[in-house]
Amino acid sequence: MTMRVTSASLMHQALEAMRRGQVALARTQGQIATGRRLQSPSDDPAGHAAAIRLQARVDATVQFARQARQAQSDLGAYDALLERVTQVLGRAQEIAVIGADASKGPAERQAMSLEVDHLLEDLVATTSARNDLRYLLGGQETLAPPLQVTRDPGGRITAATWNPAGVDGAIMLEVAEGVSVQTNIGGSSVLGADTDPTFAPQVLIDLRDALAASDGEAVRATLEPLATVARRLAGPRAAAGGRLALIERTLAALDTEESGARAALSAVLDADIGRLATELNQQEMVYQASLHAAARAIQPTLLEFLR
Amino acid sequence: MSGLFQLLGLGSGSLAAAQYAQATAGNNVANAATPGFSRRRVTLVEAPPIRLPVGAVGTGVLAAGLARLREGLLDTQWRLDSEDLQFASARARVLEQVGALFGPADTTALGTALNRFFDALGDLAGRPEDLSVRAVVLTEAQAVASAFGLLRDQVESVEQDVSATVADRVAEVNGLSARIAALNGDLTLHPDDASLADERDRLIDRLAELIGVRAATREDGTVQVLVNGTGIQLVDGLRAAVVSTSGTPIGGAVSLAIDGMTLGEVGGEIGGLLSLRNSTTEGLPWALDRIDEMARGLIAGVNREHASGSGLALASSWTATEIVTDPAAALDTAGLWHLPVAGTLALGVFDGAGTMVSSSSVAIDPATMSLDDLAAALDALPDLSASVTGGRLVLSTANPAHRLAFGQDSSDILVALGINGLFTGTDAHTLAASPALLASPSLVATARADLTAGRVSPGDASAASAMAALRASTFLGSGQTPAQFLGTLGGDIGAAARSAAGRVETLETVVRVVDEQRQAISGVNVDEELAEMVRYQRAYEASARFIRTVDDMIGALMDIL
Repeated sequence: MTMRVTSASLMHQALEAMRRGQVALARTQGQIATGRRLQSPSDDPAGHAAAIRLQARVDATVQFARQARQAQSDLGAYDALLERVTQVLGRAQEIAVIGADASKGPAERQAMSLEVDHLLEDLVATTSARNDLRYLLGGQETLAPPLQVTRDPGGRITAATWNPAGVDGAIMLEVAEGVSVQTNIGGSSVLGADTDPTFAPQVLIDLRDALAASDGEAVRATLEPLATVARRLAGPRAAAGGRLALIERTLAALDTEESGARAALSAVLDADIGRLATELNQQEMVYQASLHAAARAIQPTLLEFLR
Repeated sequence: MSGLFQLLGLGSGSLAAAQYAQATAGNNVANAATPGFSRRRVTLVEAPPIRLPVGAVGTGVLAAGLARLREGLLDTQWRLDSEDLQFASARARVLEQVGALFGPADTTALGTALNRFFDALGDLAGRPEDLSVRAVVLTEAQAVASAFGLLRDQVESVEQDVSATVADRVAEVNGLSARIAALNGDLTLHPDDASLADERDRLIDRLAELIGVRAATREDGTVQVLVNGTGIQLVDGLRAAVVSTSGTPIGGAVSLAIDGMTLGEVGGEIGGLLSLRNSTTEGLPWALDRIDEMARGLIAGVNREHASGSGLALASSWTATEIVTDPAAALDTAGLWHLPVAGTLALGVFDGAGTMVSSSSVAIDPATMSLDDLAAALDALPDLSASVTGGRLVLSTANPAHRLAFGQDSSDILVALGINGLFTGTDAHTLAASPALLASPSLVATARADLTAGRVSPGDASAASAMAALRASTFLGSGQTPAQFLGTLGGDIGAAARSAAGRVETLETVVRVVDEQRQAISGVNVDEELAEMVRYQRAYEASARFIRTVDDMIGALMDIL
């Protein structure tokens, strides 16, 4: 025996088919409108969790890149400083070579002494160079002037010492997960420790005083320390260069990682518009078919045929 | 002659029967769309014949009664399936609602706030001296706090909604039970009243959807309604039980009782709602616990790095934010939100110029040491004074011009008591950016005090770096990063919502099939009824014709007279 089909169940089925069609259409339409495959965690629970992790990774990578560029600019700030120190010391070496010449008289040496005093002032001024808030040569003591000088009543510098709290503290910045780079250059690696006989300001003071006293021997004695002071600059230059190269490589790696994470995120999150458009078409057809079928099934009653 | 008049009676009887049948068909058509309506048929029987010598001669037709076409077995099946459907469907609705609070995946409020907070900490690691960067860190910390608070509030408001819906549905159950009991009474008086029986069945159907019931018909025609799976009666004869709810809208559990007897797990919509309202392993309390767990983990993790750090400026006095109710009890058992472990706390005292005056350390054993003991031990250290005021530890330098720096704290006591933290609070509700730091951003700890060399360097960003590195650190829950924790939480809720929605889809099909079977018996097919109407119309016309024929016969006899 075939099952009795009632008017209500016909109607119910037609409505149900329409409802299903509409739900499917609304879902696809929502995905297309937002460009997002995931509208709510229940759409794809694992995808939801993955998307949050990937988004955090993208953000972390972007932030690391930001920090790497900060480290780059921090290290770049030392370029001008090192250049200036090199020029000062180079000029001092030239003067020392000329001043050591026995043919030079006291008047000439006096003039040279004055120039060396200017160079000394110049050198001391470079140590108070700042990048934004930070004293470049202050180590971790970034807010205190790194070099303290003593002057005689005539205003001439007679001695110089580093900040007793230390000027060599390393400032480290993480530029990638587990990769930290020192973004500063310690004062004593540039000018030497203040206890060292080749402490740059002290060598210049010695040179200046030897020239002022027109003591050729004493002037000659500064040549060796001056050379050491000048050679020392190669160290921080090389270190900064090495770190900058590391940062460059890190930035490239971060870039790759970021695009990788973004691609993965997009694969989880983003809707495939082409496929969805096709689906939308199909669903539209199914929906229209269900409407037509409902119209056919519901309309006729026996009444129309009882004439 | 009397035979002919009898034939007139026969004719009028069949007219009446056709009228009844017509009325029934008309009523069926009229109620074609009425929910719960069972189609009816007039039961026609042959009227008792008269026994004559020629045999038993028929006397026409009788409308013996109205049959209500219904199948009790299908009713039972429909109720069981509908109970399950409503159970799953209530769960799917609530879980979807909660899940939506965690999506869309890439821009969840909390996820975004956390990412920006860690970004700001990374910036701070690059520029610890910059007060504006410190201010940004604190702003982002506040954003994290409000995102946690908002998420918790939203889940709580779902919980409140669920509690309110349960109360509404329970009130509906009580109304239904009372009406069923009343109908039981009416039906003992009018056992044949099909519309009353339909009404009662419809109400029982609704009860099944709401709470899950089984109905048994008694010999006297009344039904007994039992809560499925419990054997507790909702309706028995003329008596209806009253279901009551207990519990608060938020927190705790909501439970049901009938006349003082506690109802265990019930089915239907109410059961589905209660399963989420009360379950600490999958429901709303579980979700709230997880949110709190994450907030607690974040507070502890960030504060652990912050507490042993120092800012651009140092404070001379700290007051714990956490109150210990019993300062004389061992710290282990004093009810602290975060348990300290055995370890040491190092401290340094600096003068106004930043030179260290003294450094010291205190060994902490939470199993034996009370807050009072700790205060005494700290008070005994050089240049420090400590006391307990209103359950809070107050720690300060003996000389108000001196400043206090914290070194390594392997005991977690600073985290537990809420001293020198970036966050204050103990859960998602109370989580906040430390008011002390907001008042003075230079206190945000970026450096680690070097208590051996006796200095705190402004350019040192080790503490800030350590906090920034927490983004990728698996310090939450059972070894998860913040993003993993948040993702898993949303994912778990999404998975539960998805499985509930899948179950709803399956059960919808099951219920539809049963409903179609039920409709096949009880439902009205308008065409069928129209055909019936035509049939009885013809029968009526024929009977009328019969009466005229008899009348003619009587007239013929009259003519003879």
